[in-house]
Amino acid sequence: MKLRINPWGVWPWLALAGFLGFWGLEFFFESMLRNWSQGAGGFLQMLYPAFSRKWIELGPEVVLDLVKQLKFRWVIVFVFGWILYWFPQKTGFSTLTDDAIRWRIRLFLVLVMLYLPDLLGELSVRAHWSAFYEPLPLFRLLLPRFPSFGLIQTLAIAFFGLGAWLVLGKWHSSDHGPSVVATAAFLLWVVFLALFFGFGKIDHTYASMSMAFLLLVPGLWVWKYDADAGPLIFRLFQAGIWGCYFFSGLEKLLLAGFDWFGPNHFQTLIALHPQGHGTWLIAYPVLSGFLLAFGLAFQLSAILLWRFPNWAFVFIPAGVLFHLGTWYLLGVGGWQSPWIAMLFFLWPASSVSFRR
Amino acid sequence: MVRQKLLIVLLCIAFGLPFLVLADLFPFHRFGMFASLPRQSSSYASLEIQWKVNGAWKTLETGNAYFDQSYLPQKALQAFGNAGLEKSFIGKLKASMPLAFDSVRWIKTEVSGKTQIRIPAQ
Repeated sequence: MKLRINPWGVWPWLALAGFLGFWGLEFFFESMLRNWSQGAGGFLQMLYPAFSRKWIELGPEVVLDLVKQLKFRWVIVFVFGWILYWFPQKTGFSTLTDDAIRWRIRLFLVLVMLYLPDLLGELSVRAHWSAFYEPLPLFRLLLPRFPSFGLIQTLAIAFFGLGAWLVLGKWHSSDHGPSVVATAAFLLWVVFLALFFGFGKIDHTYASMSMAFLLLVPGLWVWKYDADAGPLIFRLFQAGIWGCYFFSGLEKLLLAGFDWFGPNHFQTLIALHPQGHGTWLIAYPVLSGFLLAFGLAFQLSAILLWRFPNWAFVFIPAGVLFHLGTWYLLGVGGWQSPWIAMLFFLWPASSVSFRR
Repeated sequence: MVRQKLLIVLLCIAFGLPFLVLADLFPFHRFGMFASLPRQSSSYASLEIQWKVNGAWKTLETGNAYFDQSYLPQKALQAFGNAGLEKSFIGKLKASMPLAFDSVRWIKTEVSGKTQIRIPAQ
């Protein structure tokens, strides 16, 4: 069954209202920012804590540029939503069978369980340095202190049990089990990540895995009540993966613009990542500029996957090259990165074909 | 049908909200690694933390690259010059280190040369 939505309904109006609203707020924000030193920025700091950090790190002009971007960011979010609504209406989601979707969900959980020991390894180091633990804002009440590693191991065993049920059990989308068990597993995953991030850094190693998981869980609840929702749920699960690349590309476009391709940018990146092997490339500015352009184009092209799933035949190999390249040149990630493994869930299997 | 629409709205929120507020809102992530043009004018090239046990200085090594190269040096730099933060930093180190120690020092290597900052553990 196709979604029936009026494409000219609420989305464009919200985009326009947000654009005008942020345009109006821009003057208010600017005056607050210009008086930051007098302490007038308290309200703004509450709304945008990132501004005060960037004010110190990068200076006032950079922050004022960000303020001017807010109205465009708002419109981009609503254009993104409009695209997500409009194209499936024209084309349908896919003809992937429910059985094929269930197998892909099982495969995903196998992958999460394969990577969990790596995450536990990091948590065991953090358990040793637990005196430095600073809980994330949401977890100040829930996890005010770093738990003992024994408790973390117990939770991990519970996670493996829940995962094993989803992987090995025979379940149907209308059963109570899958949505309840997947929710419990996701909450445990969130706890592990919250502990992992409680040391001053939001690490993106598991980001695409987490975003896909985050979209899968409510999807399973919807699938329980709506037997036709399977293809949409899997496409949204995939969107959780490619969305990470698309929004990463958008940030580069908005924050760096054409300077992204500038001759000094690659040199600076290499200098800041001495653990990589990219020093030799500095001597070839055209090639390094091409690599930066390739990275940006690859990330921005991710949104094509929503309308043209077969773009994955290009996107996946490009993604593997992208991740291996950043590993080799900058020393970021590795061949075993979960990002690379998650890319393969975008593969358009023969049973996936859009209705025309 | 309404539930399916809500899933699309959730997708927009999951990616759109951190994009709009320019911050991570865990469990939602803001993406854009290396998006800001980096500034090369780092104030120091490296920072090594050492601790003194029985008269001998040892380099602090946790066995974890993030802690060794990023987290602990940053914490040490933040603590330097602020008596309260220094005390807190030393206290946390004491709680984490396997042996009791006499002193902690960090050696900051800058373009102009090395600077040693020494803080007694007491």
